[in-house]
Amino acid sequence: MLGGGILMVIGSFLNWGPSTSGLSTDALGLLGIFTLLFGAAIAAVAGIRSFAPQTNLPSEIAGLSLNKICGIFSLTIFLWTFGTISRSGVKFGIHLTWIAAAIATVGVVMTMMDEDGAPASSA
Amino acid sequence: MQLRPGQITALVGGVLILISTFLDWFGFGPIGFSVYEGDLFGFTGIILLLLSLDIIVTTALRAFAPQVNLPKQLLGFSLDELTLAAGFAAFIYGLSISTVDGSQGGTLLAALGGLAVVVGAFLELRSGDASADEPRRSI
Repeated sequence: MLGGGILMVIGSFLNWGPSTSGLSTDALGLLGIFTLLFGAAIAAVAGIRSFAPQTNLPSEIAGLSLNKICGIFSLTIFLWTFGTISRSGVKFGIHLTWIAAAIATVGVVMTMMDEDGAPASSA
Repeated sequence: MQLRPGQITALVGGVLILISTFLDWFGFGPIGFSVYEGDLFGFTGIILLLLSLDIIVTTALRAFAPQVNLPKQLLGFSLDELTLAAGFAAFIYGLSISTVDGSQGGTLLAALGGLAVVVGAFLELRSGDASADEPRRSI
């Protein structure tokens, strides 16, 4: 989660299209800015849990656990950056971002499996 | 069968997202492109179509055919949470593209539909919480 979140933040500053960074609204509108915010949130949650476990994070926000919120954030960014790789003029930044979002999503699922101590899917 | 407000809201939102994919998302003057235009949007149109169908089908099945045995969870997420995630993704994408110069009405309709799905799924989650005995800590 931590690595994926940090890479999402870095990816948002790199070029997503010809001479446009992810943070430029000329590329994909606000998507780069959402990538930066969601990546920072995921990295912050994972970082605080790892390096400052005494910090009292809320277990849930609006009925959703922090893990699930992080998962929704990373899955959202993964869907739209991965879906965009076939458009013309795509640069390295967008490839880094979808890979980072995929890593973060896998990290969230693994964290949920660790915390539940149970298989992740059930019928 | 009486539909709950959350189910109605999610269904309407899913249909709005589906309709939005066939409208113009980008264009100038008389020339417009839908989200299926690969050079502009990659295959995000296909993803958006699949998300909307997922929202519509799962919500409709749970409302009109409760005898159908859907999985309760997938990768640790309940169906309501997955519906919320799909709606949130559509909302973020529609809202993002709506800020690009030349964006058209399809983007805002997708954002509106996504928001409706999020609200509907949230209402469903709340109704599930209310029926549960166990109190939950939240902020």
